[in-house]
Amino acid sequence: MKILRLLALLPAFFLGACALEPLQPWDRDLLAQEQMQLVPHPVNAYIADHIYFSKEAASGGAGVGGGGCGCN
Amino acid sequence: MQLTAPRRIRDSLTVATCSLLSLDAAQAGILDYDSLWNVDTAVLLYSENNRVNVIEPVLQIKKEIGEGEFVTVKFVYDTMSGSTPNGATPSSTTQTFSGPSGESTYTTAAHELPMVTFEDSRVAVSFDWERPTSRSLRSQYNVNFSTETDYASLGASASFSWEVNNKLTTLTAGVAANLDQVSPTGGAPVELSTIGTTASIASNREIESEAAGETEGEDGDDGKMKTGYDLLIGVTQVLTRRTLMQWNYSFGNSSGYLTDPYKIVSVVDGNTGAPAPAPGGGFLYLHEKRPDTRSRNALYWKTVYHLPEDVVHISYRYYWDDWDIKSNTVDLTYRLQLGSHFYLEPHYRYYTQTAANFFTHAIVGNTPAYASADLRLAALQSNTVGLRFAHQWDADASWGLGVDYMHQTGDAHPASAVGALKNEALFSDLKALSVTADISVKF
Repeated sequence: MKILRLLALLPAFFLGACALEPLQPWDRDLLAQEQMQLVPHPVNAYIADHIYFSKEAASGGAGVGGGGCGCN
Repeated sequence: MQLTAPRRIRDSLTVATCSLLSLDAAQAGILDYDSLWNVDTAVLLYSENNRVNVIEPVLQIKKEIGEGEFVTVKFVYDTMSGSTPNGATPSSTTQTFSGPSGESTYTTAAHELPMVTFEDSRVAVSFDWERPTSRSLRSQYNVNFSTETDYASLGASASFSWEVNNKLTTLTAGVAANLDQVSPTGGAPVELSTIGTTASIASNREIESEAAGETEGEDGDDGKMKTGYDLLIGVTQVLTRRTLMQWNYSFGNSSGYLTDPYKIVSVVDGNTGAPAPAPGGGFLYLHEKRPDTRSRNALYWKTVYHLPEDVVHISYRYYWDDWDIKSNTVDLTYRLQLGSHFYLEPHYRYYTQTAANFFTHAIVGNTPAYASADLRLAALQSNTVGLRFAHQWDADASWGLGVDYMHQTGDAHPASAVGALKNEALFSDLKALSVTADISVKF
């Protein structure tokens, strides 16, 4: 439960931190790069997720949707 | 150069895609929006140690059809073959099982983990439409469909992203629903009924059909349904010029037929651990049974950080559900830039889960309300290491080649093992090698 409490506090901490450092539009050069996207390679991520979904009991968290399978 | 020669291809693909999506000719105008086609394709070659082999090509086509408005179509084709554990425990004697169709048998040598062979293919198609609803709100809609010999899935989702705080904060909400049909080879067996002889399987399946009030079609297909929904809320925060962070919470619920129709459970003697004899000869095995509902929760955290040249992706997920499975996942990817055109991506993932509360290697004594010996519901840990090399040969084209090795381990000699089962390896490690080749082009 300590981990959960810490995770719950993290957003407040970082939201506070970013208020100290306003980011201008011209500062978004790095954020616009493909490698800075949350999922830079969706097709590769789909393939990896499909493998984990087939072999493990836990799923979800990163997004909603996707397809089902009668995975063996 | 890009605007002249490839134009014909663009036009051809426009026509092809419109036909595919059954769009009206008048609507096809939206695809003439002057933007590039984004084509991402990859093929996976997946191989487990003496188990499953998969070949999976994926093709994704994305096109901007208006300012900030995108459509994406994805096609996936899987071919799967090999063998998978049937759920029975290893034994000191040879074991004989009825196949899923009930018309054939297969045997497993003493001390071997019983496996059943299978072969299947799967086709999946998904269609995605993403558009700005207002200056700060984006919406994304998705429908997806997949089908394989014994399984069909239909899903839809909608998610909304709201940018606030000078576009430094993005609030996300999503909802998804799915409807799946399981049509096991030979029909769905009665859960927790015995297997062992062809006759008993046939009679069990008849009983199941009658009990469910179903009428079997001529092809013997008595499909079982399961439905589900998922909800997600999340916050993505730009922390600095170099740091992006995301927090999500997701809740999912599934109900209906959640049992694996091909998995069985051994019944063993509580003292000796020897397989219990079946009334009609052979040994006693039961078809597994899982609860018909499942609620899942996940907390997810991800950070993307830009070093002077390289980029780090790190994520953590805590998962828990009402089958008493709890799981931790840590995923780390480091993009090592090698000049302006090449990069290497080492990848490490650690995964662990506790067992479902009805998981058991074997049934001893009275038959419980639910039982499954599917090792994917056992307590296990998994380590994955990978490396991907990629070449960005110009602004509109790149390719990559990645290799991942997954090693899943569990407790082969749990304290709950009885008698002779203490000497058998009840959990067999899974080692899987994946090779993924991908190409992305814009034209």
